[in-house]
Amino acid sequence: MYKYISKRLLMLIPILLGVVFIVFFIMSFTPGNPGRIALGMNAPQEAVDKYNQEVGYDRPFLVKYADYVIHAVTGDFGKSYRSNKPVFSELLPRFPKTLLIVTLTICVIGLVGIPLGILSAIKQYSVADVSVTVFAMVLAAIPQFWFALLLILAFSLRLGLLPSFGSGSLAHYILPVLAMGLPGSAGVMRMTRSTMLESIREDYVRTARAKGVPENVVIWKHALKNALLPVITMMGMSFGLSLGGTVMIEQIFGIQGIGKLMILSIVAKDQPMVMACTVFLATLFCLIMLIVDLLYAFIDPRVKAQFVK
Amino acid sequence: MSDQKLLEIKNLRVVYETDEAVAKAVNGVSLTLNKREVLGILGETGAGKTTTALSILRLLPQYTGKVTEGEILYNGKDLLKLSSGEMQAIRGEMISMIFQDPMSSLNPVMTVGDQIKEALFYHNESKYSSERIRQRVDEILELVGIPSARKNNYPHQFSGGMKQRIVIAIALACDPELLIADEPTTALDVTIQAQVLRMMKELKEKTGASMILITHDLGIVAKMCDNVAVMYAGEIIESGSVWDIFENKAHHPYTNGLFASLPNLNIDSKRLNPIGGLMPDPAHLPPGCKFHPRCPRRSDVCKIEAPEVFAMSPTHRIKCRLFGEKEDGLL
Amino acid sequence: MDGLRERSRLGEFWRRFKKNKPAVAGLAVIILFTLAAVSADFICDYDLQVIGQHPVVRLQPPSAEHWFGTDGFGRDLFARIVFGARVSLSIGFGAALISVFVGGILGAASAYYGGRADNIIMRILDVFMAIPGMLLLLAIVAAFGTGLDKMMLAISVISVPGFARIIRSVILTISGQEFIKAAKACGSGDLRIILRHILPNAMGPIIVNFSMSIAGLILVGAGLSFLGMGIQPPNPEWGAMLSEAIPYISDAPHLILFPGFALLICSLSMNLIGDGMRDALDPRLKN
Repeated sequence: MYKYISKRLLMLIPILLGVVFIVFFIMSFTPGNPGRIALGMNAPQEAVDKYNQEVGYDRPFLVKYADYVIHAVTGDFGKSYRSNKPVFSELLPRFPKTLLIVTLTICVIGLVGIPLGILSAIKQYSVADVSVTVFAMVLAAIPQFWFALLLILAFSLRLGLLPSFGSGSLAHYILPVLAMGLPGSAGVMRMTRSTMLESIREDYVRTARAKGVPENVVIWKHALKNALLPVITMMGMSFGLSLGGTVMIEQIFGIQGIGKLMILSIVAKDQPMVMACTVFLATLFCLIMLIVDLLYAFIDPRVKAQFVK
Repeated sequence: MSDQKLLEIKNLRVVYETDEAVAKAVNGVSLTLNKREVLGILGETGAGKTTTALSILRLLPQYTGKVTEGEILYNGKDLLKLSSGEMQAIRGEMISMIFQDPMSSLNPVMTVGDQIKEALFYHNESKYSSERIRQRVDEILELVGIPSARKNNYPHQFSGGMKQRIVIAIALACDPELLIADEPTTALDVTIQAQVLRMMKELKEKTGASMILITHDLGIVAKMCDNVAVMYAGEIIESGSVWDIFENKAHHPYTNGLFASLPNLNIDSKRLNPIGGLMPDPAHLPPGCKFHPRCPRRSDVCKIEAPEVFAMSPTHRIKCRLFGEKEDGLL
Repeated sequence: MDGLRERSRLGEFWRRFKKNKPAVAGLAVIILFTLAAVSADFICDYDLQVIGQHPVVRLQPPSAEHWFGTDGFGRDLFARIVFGARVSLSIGFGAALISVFVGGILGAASAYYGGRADNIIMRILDVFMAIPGMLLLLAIVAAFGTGLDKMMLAISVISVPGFARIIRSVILTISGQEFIKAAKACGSGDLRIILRHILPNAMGPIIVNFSMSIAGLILVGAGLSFLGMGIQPPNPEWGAMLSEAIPYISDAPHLILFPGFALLICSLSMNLIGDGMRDALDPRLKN
């Protein structure tokens, strides 16, 4: 098991190098240069050139990429053009807020999506099933940012129940998390329903029934455990989607997380900061998908068997 | 052998309803199984054998499979009228089933020990301690010839034959009175087939259970069964003791066809004689005798009127017009 | 003969699709939206109603004159939504077409050449898929700037890897089937096999995935504009309109409701069509 984890961690390295390359490549097309941004529009051209030379901006692309990677390995991701401070000194303090939103969102997705999907499957063709299917259909089509505005309109402005701006208390997180979690749960709901319907019809579920296992145990133990495997992968993918979605949600709800920092940095053409945000969140996503794979192995002994030998 | 009735099925009819069509899978099956007896149900794929078996345990596919008519009396009680709780108490405890495909019949994410333990755990009338249940799991594994040390392994770690032994172990865990084996060896290699069959026969003797053995293999019937019912298109077209079926001369044309399609080592023939044609689509059964489109001895009446069942002897019954006159002659 | 078989296959597909009422409703809605988008210039006046500012009639609720009311600049919301359909539908269909084309070439190449080429293409796509889509999209927009064409390309970049994978697996599944082996055994050439056997059979799943992806791409485009990284005001785009409406959220909620419903109905309809096509193509997938 440890061998597998370390092997998977090693496999992350080329992926991350690729991620950095792609983002670095894209960002290299950003118009403007760091000297101009740091020194302002009125600075003399010589000063700008000197600054660019100091930060190594005028070197060839691949050299800059290699340089970035070498520094990144030692934990140095460069300085923000905007604040001239190391990017992580600005990024890391914002991380807990983003992590909280995304984690809570995943919880909502799981807690809403999985039970409703199961209900829908075990009561196939019932009113509950049809309602859940329609509900999931609408949720899947709803734009998150619009849903966020509707929630604000209803719960903050009309009912005055919940705050709509800032991140002072846990209550501040309720609307943002619902705005992302409910639309996000649609996919999990539909996936759970279909995998559950499939596994309920499996031979081993019939075997369980034939040996007189009570129906609720058949569903919750035999069918569910097998049906959950693809759902877990989907939850991992939802994590990636939420990391992207948090950009919009933090913007709408005025939460000072990494998403908001990213928008701020894009507008300010703060290339090192945009790089750092993207690479940081992509790394996080890769780690989550790794955990998903490990969870797979934990649940399904067949997967485990593949790498134990 | 006592002649006490354990199971009696009366005029069972089962349909599968889908969006497109209604398939009549079982059409008025009646049969009797006495205690300690082995009844073979013989027939081609799609004859309704498995459907009959699943109806006994009330495990027909939800929403599509429906019993439309008939009674299934088990020790005099109609299983079809029991509540789902009562039925659950009977499954595994008194009637259990061995399924056709051992590859997919075991839960891939549970150890085999746990899967056997479950059957015991939910039928624990004697309030055995968990220690006693664990012992019983070991016993039953050893009984089917698997070292008890392997109880913590998962299904994928076993070969096909061993998986089938585990499926059998699950079925036998609670010492059921009735064991339904649905083509228990079809998915196995020929060499393993013999082993599994021999083991099943021994275990049956040891536990004193009755058995319904579903198969399309005449050899297995001859080896294992006391009585035989031949099914075709959801009906029993011939039934009798093994002697009636294998030694008697008078047979339903379909049964004759089954025997003719076997290779006969005593007669030098160039090729086998399969029955021409296919089993009718259960959604569009032919009128009259359901076998008439394939029957070499059909007459015009067969196309219109369904035949009655004629008794050849106290045990031997054939559902074919050909034997009507004979019976008249006897009387 | 072949033409007849093709037609009857399409006919069978259409017969099954027609039975699915929600899908037919979705199709009707999308046809309506498309007609509105195409004939937008005849429905309303772009300069006068869509970008012309009329401070006198600002923030008016829906009325006979302004069906959906007016926005903070006194622009007619209905006219803006009609023109917005043009943008959203072009982004959805445009990006999906580009993705299916590029993804199709990559996936087909991967499946066809196999081995090393397959490995390289798939590993590169893995890297793209390791970056959360919205973030990659923002990085691209940050570097290349905004505008309809750039947006379409940027959105395609994030949806190509998914398409490539699906098309690769569709083609691998088909080429593994017996009738392809049979065709090979009969001595059919590679090109003939691809054109006569693989492509016709791959078309179904590809078209289904194409139609199922459009709704998501429309929403991504609207989200990008909502963040101010897509279509720029004063151009009418549903996401951008929502973002402009935020300051008026309590005074004029109709500014939030109408563009949002337009987005919701549009993406819901596309999803219904996609589901309907999937079920019509392969009834076995339906539960």
